[in-house]
Amino acid sequence: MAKLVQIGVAADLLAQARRGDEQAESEIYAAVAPATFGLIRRLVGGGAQAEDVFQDTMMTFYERLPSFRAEAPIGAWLRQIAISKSLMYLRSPWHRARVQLDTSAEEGTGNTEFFHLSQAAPVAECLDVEHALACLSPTARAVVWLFEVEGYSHDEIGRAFGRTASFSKSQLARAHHRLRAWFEPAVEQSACTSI
Amino acid sequence: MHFDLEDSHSVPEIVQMLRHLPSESAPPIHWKEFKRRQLLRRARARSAQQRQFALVAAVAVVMIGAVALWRYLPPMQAPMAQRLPTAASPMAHRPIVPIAWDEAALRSVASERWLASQPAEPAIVRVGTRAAVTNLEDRIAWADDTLTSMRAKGGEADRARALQYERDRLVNSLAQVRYAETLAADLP
Repeated sequence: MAKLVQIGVAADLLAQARRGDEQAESEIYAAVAPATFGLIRRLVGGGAQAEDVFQDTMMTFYERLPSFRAEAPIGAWLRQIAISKSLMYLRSPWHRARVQLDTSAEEGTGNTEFFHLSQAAPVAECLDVEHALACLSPTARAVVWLFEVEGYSHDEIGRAFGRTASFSKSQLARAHHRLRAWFEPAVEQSACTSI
Repeated sequence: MHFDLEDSHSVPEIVQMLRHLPSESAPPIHWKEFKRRQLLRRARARSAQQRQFALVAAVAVVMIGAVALWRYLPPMQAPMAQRLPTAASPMAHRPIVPIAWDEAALRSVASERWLASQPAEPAIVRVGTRAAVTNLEDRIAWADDTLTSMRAKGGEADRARALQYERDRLVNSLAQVRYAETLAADLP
């Protein structure tokens, strides 16, 4: 499976899409949409929010396509848009309020579902890296993904979040600790509490 | 997706697992649905832009009407009762020009007919003009009451004519404000 940053399209197809040719736009959509949605899901999480961010990203992509200068693969350019939209969503007051509500609900019931899973079924569930990622807070998950998988530097992540490089470093260090705790429950019992 | 791991996992191992996670996911909407939503959003954006333009134009028209009203009406510092024509007030000595009087009366009658043909409530209610309209209507009603009582008592013909002249001016002002409202409501 190709990463979004590696995806490129033929120059003539790109030229047609820039002129507004719907067939060419459709072919580009088919080439980039799966990797774009995959990245957005990693950063934002699943559900309707990811779909909204995806739609917003693709609409911005097509609106700005005529200004794309083709200095880098189109996937790299689209990745910038997707990451920018995802982080904008994560920083939005609406999202923060939702996370706060979720956290209070979890506190009311004691431990999270993931924590119970890690205690009861350590072999099957603890080996699931997807679950381990889901256990992180949205911000920590985005920092881990951008640094470890997308290859962003701490400076770039800090800038993207409107913070400093130290913010990125501390988020990453705590996320690493949390991930290790997930795979080794003995390291920390409350592995799934939010960061 | 599950991985066979040793009992202990270092951070590099975890990072390696993260990098092996699938990078693609089936998009939630296919191209045709995406295109439909894109067109819908563009149409909404265009419509919102037009509404904003119409609102700005309507506000401009209402403001022009309000300024015209403000310039046309006499100052309102004193209550209306104190501005009744008395021996010392300017209205008592105002020269009544018959031609102007007839023109004003005719315009007033025409304006009243036009006002009667208008709906009771304006299509778009705005607080600014609403207050002005209410004020004008109150003053017209007060002039009507005063004229009725003056006619019942008899005499004071000059004062009655002056008051009638004032009433006609108020009716014309009211017609202008209502006309501005109608223009604003008819904007696309």
